[in-house]
Amino acid sequence: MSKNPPCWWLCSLLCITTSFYYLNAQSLDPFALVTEEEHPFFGGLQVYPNSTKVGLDSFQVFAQKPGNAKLPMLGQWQKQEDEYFFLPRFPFRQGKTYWVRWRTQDGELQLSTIEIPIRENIPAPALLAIYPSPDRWPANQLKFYIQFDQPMQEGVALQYIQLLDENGKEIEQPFLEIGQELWDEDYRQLTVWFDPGRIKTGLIPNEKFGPPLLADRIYQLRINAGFPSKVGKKLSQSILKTIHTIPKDQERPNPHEWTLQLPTVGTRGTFRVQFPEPLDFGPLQSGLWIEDAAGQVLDGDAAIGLEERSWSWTPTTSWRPSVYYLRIDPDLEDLAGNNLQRLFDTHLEGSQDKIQQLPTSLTFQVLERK
Amino acid sequence: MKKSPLTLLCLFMLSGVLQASLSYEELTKDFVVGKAAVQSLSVMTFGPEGILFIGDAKGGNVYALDVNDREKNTSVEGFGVAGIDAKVGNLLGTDANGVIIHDFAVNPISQNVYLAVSRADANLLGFWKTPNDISNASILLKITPDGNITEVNLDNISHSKAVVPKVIDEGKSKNYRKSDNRTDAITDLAYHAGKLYIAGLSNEEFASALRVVDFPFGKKAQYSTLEVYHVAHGAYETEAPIRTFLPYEVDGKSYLLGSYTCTPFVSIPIAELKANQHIRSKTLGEFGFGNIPLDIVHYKNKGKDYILMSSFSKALIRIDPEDIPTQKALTEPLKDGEYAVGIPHDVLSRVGVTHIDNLNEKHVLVLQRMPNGQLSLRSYNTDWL
Repeated sequence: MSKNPPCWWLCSLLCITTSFYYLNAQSLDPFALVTEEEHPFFGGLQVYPNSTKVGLDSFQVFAQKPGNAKLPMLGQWQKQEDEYFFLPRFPFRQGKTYWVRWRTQDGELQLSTIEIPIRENIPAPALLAIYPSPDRWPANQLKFYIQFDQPMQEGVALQYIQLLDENGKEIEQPFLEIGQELWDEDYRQLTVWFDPGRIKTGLIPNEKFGPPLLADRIYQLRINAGFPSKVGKKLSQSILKTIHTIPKDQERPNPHEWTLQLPTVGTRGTFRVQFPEPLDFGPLQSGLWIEDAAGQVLDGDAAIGLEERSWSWTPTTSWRPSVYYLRIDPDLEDLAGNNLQRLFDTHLEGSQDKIQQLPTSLTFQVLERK
Repeated sequence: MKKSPLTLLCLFMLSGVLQASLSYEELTKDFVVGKAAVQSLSVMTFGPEGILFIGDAKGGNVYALDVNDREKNTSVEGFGVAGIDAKVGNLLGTDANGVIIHDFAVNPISQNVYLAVSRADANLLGFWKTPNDISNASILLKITPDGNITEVNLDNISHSKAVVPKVIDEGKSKNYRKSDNRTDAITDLAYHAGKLYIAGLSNEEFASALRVVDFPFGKKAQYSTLEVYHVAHGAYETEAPIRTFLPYEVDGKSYLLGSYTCTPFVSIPIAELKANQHIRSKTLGEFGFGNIPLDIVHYKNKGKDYILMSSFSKALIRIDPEDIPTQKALTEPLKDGEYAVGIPHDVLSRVGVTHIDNLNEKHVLVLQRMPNGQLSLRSYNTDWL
């Protein structure tokens, strides 16, 4: 999605630096705040018995710097497998510093502080959209996108996504299961692929299990409640999308069939291109752009239209009486993964010669003022 | 401890007098061990055999807790905890302003002190904003005379429970302190001769109620409504609850001596408390408007009986019980310029005292805001009260 590699790099670099810092900070003290909301001892302190003695006599937490008969906080110890946790009687106060007096294995008293971070009141995640947004999907639909309003937890997606047939029966393993889930940089958009091995004719999964979707059927895509966000909040209710399948799409998107809606010279009117079929939301986000006669990429605001059947672009400066180009990324795809250069489900050998070259650019002139 | 034959004789005679009183085993035979589901430790008082009574205004129940604390302490010494709010705050992971002490009660057997506490914002307290207006106390702490503080675990405790009849509904009406009237469903408790007396608001037309339930619990609580002549307001009132009261014997008759907000002092003959009866109390005195009374105790100063009352906005008030029988009922409003009228009383030089209880024969324990701002538990020798 990002066209800005340097920024991305900087972010990753920062992340790496912070996590190193965090690890270092952790290794100094024999305890750490449990920050995962899902954790049974969330809000307590995990105490590492290799570094400190465990027990209320050796490990005490104070709301003020200890001394002058200051009393330690009430709390209790919990042991889970080999891990120890100190749970305060009442939750630690956000933004407050606490003192921890602990003993090394040699019996030496140590004093550390811990500042409890202020947790922003993050709401439960919400599902914003599922793409393709149309209800009619070709039987060879390749992938879809789920957008959330906040960063989500990685690695659990397929536990929460189901495909059901007309009788509400779950389709077994319709999606591609790979080690790495396909999230965008900020973990708000997930791409889920139908298993390509089951879509492509002639492959073993296709022959063995058949395609995940059949034409002229009704399916339900269900995103189940409980899908956790990065901070552990859960999607509060399940979301259903009903899909009517149409016959397989065996044709490439053809720019010759696109309709252009042209703006007027001297205005900042919107340029719009209409497709006869929905295009895939992913590549469509960056797969079209406008250049001037000299081949300069122009600044403007792009938007994807209803059901991904159109794309519009509004310039930041007025149109001039000149030639413009709509440039088309040859990787732009339709819903079945067919791009300008090839069909998704095709044998590459020997077929290239026969394939008609499709334009990767459309020239247009804006309308004269009346 | 050795007992002289005379003491033993006295004890024997005393036991004859108290023949009706039950043993620890008899008192607790219906108790169950488990979670005492108290929703608010609104008010507390000790009964016999180290049994702590809890008035739970939010839950509309009273609980009898066996706090397992019956080791006799015969000390007549006082004790104190300076900065009790900060100490409790530290125990609960916060500071002095992060906790509110709602009430305390001294176990007369062990002299251990029990505090009802919440982790709440003490900055919200005011002369017209009581602890129970701000939060529900959920923590019961025990302080031993050596200053050690521990929590009493209410999740696993021997206890019994009684439902308080007709408590005022929650969320229906607010009082002049802008708090839900339910916070005053139980305003005070007192145990006397096998019965627990429970003051507070009901959902009846005459809201001010006094309920009487036998202890051990089992029978349904009996219920009466109250009416007071309020001198400062110049009217008979039935809506305001008794804020504090004390069972006390005058001339061989048992009374409840009590006080209301703004601050009439009244007596109610216990014999007149009958089921479903409306009772008009006798207004003995008016101690001044703009004040909420908090606790009443009885003590002896060099052998002489006194009644001591604490309030939110006044210094300690001392009454000589000998003045009670001769005091005529007040039925006229305050005249211009009058402030306190009726029964003679002294206002003692002890300011900032909120809750009080008897610690032992020689000391009264008080919760007192000190001139340096600290909230402290302090003992006052009864010879000086």
